[in-house]
Amino acid sequence: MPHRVLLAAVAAALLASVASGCTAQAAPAAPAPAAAPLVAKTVLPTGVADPMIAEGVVIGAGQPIYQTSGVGPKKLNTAAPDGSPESYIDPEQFPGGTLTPGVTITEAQAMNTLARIRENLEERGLSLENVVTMMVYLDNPPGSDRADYAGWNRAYRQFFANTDLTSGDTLLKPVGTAAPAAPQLRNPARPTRSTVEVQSLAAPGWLVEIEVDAVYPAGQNPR
Amino acid sequence: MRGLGLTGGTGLMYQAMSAVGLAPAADTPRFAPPAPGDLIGRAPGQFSVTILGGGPAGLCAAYELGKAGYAVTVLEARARPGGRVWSIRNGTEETDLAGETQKCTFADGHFFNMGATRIPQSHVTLDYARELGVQIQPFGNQNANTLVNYASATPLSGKSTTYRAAKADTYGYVSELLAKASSRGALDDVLSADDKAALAEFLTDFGDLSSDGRYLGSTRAGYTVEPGAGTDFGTQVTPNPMSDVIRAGLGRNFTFDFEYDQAMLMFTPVGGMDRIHYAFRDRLGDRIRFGAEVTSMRNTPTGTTVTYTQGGRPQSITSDYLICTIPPHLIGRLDNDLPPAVLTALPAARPYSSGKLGIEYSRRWWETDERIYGGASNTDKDITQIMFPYDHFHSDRGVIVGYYNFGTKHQAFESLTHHQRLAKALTEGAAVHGDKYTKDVVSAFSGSWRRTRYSESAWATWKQTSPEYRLLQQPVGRIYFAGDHLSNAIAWQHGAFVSARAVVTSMHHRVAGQQ
Repeated sequence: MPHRVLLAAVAAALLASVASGCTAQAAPAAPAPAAAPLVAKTVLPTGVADPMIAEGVVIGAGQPIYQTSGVGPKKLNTAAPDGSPESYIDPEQFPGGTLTPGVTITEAQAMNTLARIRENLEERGLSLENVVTMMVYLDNPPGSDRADYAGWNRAYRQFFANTDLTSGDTLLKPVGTAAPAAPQLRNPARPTRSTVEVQSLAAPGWLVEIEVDAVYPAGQNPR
Repeated sequence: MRGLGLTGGTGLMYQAMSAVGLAPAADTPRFAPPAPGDLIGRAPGQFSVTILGGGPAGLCAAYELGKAGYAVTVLEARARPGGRVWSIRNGTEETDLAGETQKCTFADGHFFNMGATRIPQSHVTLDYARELGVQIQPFGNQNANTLVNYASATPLSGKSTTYRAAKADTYGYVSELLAKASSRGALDDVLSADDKAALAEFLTDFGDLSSDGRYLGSTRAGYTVEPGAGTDFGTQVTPNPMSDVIRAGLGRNFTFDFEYDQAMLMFTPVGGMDRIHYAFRDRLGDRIRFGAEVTSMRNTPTGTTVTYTQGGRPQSITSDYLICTIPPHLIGRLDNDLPPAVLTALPAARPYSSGKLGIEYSRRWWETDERIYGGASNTDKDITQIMFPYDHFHSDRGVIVGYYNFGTKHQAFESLTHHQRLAKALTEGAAVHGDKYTKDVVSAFSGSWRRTRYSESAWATWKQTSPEYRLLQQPVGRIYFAGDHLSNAIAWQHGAFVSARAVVTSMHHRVAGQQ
């Protein structure tokens, strides 16, 4: 876990300063050690032009990491009953709250959620490109005994993992059963990711909750 | 003049400036007359104002405050003035938020406006062009020789029709139908016999109907073979069938130039819309600091303080007042002490997707092959429209706007790389104007405002009746907000100007009433 690594680094720094304080009490303060170089690297499967997700992520100390809380979709669709799954459709993505052909409610809620995470990160000087780790919780859509992983993955591709690592082109991705088209946001990031089905989520009507870790780019610090 | 501004209030100051030709003579907005409470204040030269953003709102505010003797400093993150008024020409270089860099290689003198491109005659923008000595020229907002092309469940689906033929047929059939309804008595409950006679006369003219009230085609639709001398009568375009014309929706964009801000001959500065803002820059000189990226803004007990970086060096500036014209959804990223109500109101101005692609051709095929001189073709494809240049007529080359689209239509391009955008635009454009659309392409440049640093939105979408909009009209301490998003002309330079002038007026009243 990244936090454990960071804590260990801080502890080491504290020990070092205590030790130097003991041996040279009157000496002027030692110059601050050079900031540890950023090590935050997703490890991708070798030789695959279009990986879906990373195999793993290396995170080192010295560079701030921003970890979100679990984020769910925002209640934006006033046309649907309060607290219904449909009330979490984003009308900016689906005008009038009307889903386009083949779009599942999980897919729509996930697109809403990812747009909120995008805002969440951008507010702090980060972007979805800086996301390295993602934890996804899905509840079953009404009438199904299994989480809608396919719908979630379509939503994910609208915001993540939609560039061809060989050509650099943006990959066209479908929303629902529509023909593949330009995704919502060009994003080469392939974070590590786990997706689990849960019995319920905190907010009535939520089918999706996501948390992400994002790393500040080198030279950029949180305010 | 300074004294007048102090003792008489802004209204009197403006009238006086207007009389000596310093201020725009426009009456939009009307500046408030001096109030009895206005007192002789400190010399305005002792008041300093920092303005965040060198777009239309920031430049206008600085320019007007400068006239009144305020010490102004504009902090602009970009290396150029104008903000979303951005003319793309040879040498323009930009790296977007996805990290893609484009460099424009258009032939000298050729350009297109990535943002604002036309000015209605009612807008105060024209007054600033006049005042700043920026030459203007007409802008072709509508051209009957351009094309419409829409998908439908009719034989007309995906076929290009000239606007003139689409109008002749649509107006013709609608007139025929209404004439028929009237003559059959279907409207007798609302029309008298005299009304019906007058209506019939109008419809015969409006639809170019035959003597028996039918639309049988019209010379208004144009010719497939132009008429010539003597008995060369030409070959008229044959009308499309009524049902096809109606179901194909050929008239869906006719109301574009019915709108209040589009229904007129439009104007644009010679050489690019940014000329207005370079003229502001010339007047303001070193009072604008370019490359200044703001990191914080705060009220202090006696004024305001702003920190920014310029050339990588952190700097700060204190002033009596501050005007923030940074796009509303980006203000929350600054280190600030704005109250929670303001911080939650700012993102209510939702960002919106739009952008353009300029394509340089080595041949003006639209003039030579299609007799199109300006205006725009319209389609329901993602490109939405193709805008033809309003300058360099008969030149050996030219730059057309291969798309100017909005919302989801623009999002079909926004996340693509530049070469992908160009390829898609050429495919769709060729379906409207034919294979020549893909030939003789020399270079291209595209932009998406959501992906453009420091803007991240084409314009704000929100309601001017919302509580958030109203809240942001008010200053927070000594921090004022200005921009087109705070006006009733969102996405127009006019909106930015009237917002800036309202803020300047309000600030000036406050200063004048302070002592």
